[in-house]
Amino acid sequence: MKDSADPLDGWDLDDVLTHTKQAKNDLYGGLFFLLRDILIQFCTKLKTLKANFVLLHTNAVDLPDLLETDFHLTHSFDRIEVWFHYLL
Amino acid sequence: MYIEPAAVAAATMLHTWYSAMITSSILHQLRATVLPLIQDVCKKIADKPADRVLSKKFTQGPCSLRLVLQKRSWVALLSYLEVPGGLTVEEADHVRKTIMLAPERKDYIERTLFCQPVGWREATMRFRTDGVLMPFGATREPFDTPNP
Repeated sequence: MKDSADPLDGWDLDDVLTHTKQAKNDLYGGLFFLLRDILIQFCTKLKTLKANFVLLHTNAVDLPDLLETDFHLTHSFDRIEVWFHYLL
Repeated sequence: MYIEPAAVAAATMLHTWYSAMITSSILHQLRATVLPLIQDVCKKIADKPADRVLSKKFTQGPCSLRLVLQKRSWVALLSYLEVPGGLTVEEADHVRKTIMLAPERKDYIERTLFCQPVGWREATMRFRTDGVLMPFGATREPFDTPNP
């Protein structure tokens, strides 16, 4: 992982700042409280939500074929998370 | 899905994802709930080729998670729940600081801090130094285990 990787990346800074407590400049404290609230809501909702998650770990190039041929998967998706792997 | 109550599950997810060090209770929770599930799958697929894509559906209440991975990735998952043999939190912290506070990165760090409001800089350096996603004033003492 690069040393520039930051947990704040990918989260709206306004949301983070509205979740700080007494210490208004505590960026990472704000992120902690924001994430904690979101995750508690998510975990609570999971108990009653009828949801089916499918996680794949595949090359994005292979995704259309995989979705087409795997009979358990629908022909649609909600999110694609792309990672780059550096070959050294 | 498997960790109760929701607050504990949330803390487990948050620190597993974002913190360089975790509490021993978080690692214990993961090894008690998630690890046996992965071990069970790995036992069943032991004789499959490494590049075979295999899937397993985990169900809890009305909710399910289907994980589709190559066999080599299933096996790798096991190591993500194991602290490398003999690695102490001090050693892990030293390795981390060697990278995060490297003299070669001083310019990069100071350019980042320069662009921030003055009040944010302490928090930025605190996280860069200890790698634990917690409020600034919260104790880091319970974080006594390297995040595998």
